[in-house]
Amino acid sequence: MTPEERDDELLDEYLKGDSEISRLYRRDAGEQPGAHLDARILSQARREADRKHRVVHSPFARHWMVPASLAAVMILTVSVIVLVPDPALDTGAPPDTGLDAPDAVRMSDEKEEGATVESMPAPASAPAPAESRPRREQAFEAKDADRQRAGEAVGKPSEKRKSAAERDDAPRAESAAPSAGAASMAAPAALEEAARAPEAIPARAVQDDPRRWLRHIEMLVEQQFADQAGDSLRAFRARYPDFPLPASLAPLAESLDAERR
Amino acid sequence: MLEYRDGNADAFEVLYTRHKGGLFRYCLRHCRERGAAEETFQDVWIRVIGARHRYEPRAKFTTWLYRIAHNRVVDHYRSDKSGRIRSLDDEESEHEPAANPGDEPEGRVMAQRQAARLRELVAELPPEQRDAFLLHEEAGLGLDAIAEVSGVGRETAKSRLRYALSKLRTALRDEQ
Repeated sequence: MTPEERDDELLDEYLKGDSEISRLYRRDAGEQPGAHLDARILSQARREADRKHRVVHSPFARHWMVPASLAAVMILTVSVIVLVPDPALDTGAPPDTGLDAPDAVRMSDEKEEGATVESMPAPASAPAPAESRPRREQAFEAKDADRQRAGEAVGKPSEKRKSAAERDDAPRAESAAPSAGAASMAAPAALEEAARAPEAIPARAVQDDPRRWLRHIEMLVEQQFADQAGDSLRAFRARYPDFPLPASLAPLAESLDAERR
Repeated sequence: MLEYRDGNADAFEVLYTRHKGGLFRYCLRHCRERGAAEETFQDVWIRVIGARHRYEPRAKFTTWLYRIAHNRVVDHYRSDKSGRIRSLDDEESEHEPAANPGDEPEGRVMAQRQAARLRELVAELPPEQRDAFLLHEEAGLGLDAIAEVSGVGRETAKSRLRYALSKLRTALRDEQ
């Protein structure tokens, strides 16, 4: 047996834990840290555990705290953008419209676009205020003035009509936001498009709500887009043949009937 | 450690009680002075407390603990201005002769019992060999764990331990 092999054998015996060297080393080898050191370290550990534990309650919370916070902020932001009405377009309509809660929420959007609530076949408990139209027009004018100051479409003869079309389509783009994630980002583009030529057929979100669609047609009539109003009413009646039309659209409906005859 | 990581302070006390003796002696054998050993020992535990969120049960807690202690001891050797202590991570020092026994009062060395003499001999070992010996004696680590803690290969750890044992046996035999 070579000296190296002998050393290896001794090493193996030593590693098994019952060697003379180990017994000798451990004899009287009982040095311990002082009690003051124990107290200091343990109190530090306890303080850290308490502090961290107050902030982070569990590994699950620790892992998901940041993503959950980001998601909550995004949901809140989108909700605020979609649901909060523009104070510049507040018509001062009474809150009680006789509708159920979801409809009432939608109505708050519709008030923005200057909806002709008073001309709808709405319940009698939802009278429109007499001054709503002048106030709405004032709001429109204020918005137009802002836009002119921003240098948009200055000096164009059809400015008023374009602005009205913008107002009509803005809620459409916003109402599509929850279903199409990037719709709120596309809202300015939609406004530009609408400013050039109002569309007869409104956005799908408006199409799905016959009352909103009727208000869209009324807006077209009001802004003297007769062709678009006619096309839109035709499409409306094809989809909602039995839905009662407001009195304001009766002349347009009669003219369509006459054309058909 | 996982329980302590999740906020159970009592779990830390269990760990501390289990490991404090061995870890303190590991620090004491390296630092040689009780004051420096206590400072090192406390710093190791503070690092354990601070790093508990990074603790993953990939290795035994003992291995993780002594890895921190080993790094702290390396810092201690590096910061030693006297030059009395050679660097623990200096490979060239591995085969150098042990420290001069004359550093200790001769009468006291002669009066000590055999066990105390062994501890003196451990203190005279080159730092890397001493580290390997202490990691086995105080932490109960095997060759693989010693290699992991020291950041070296298994054969290097084995060589260090073999040299340490050989020197200790030879010294004890010569004194008998």
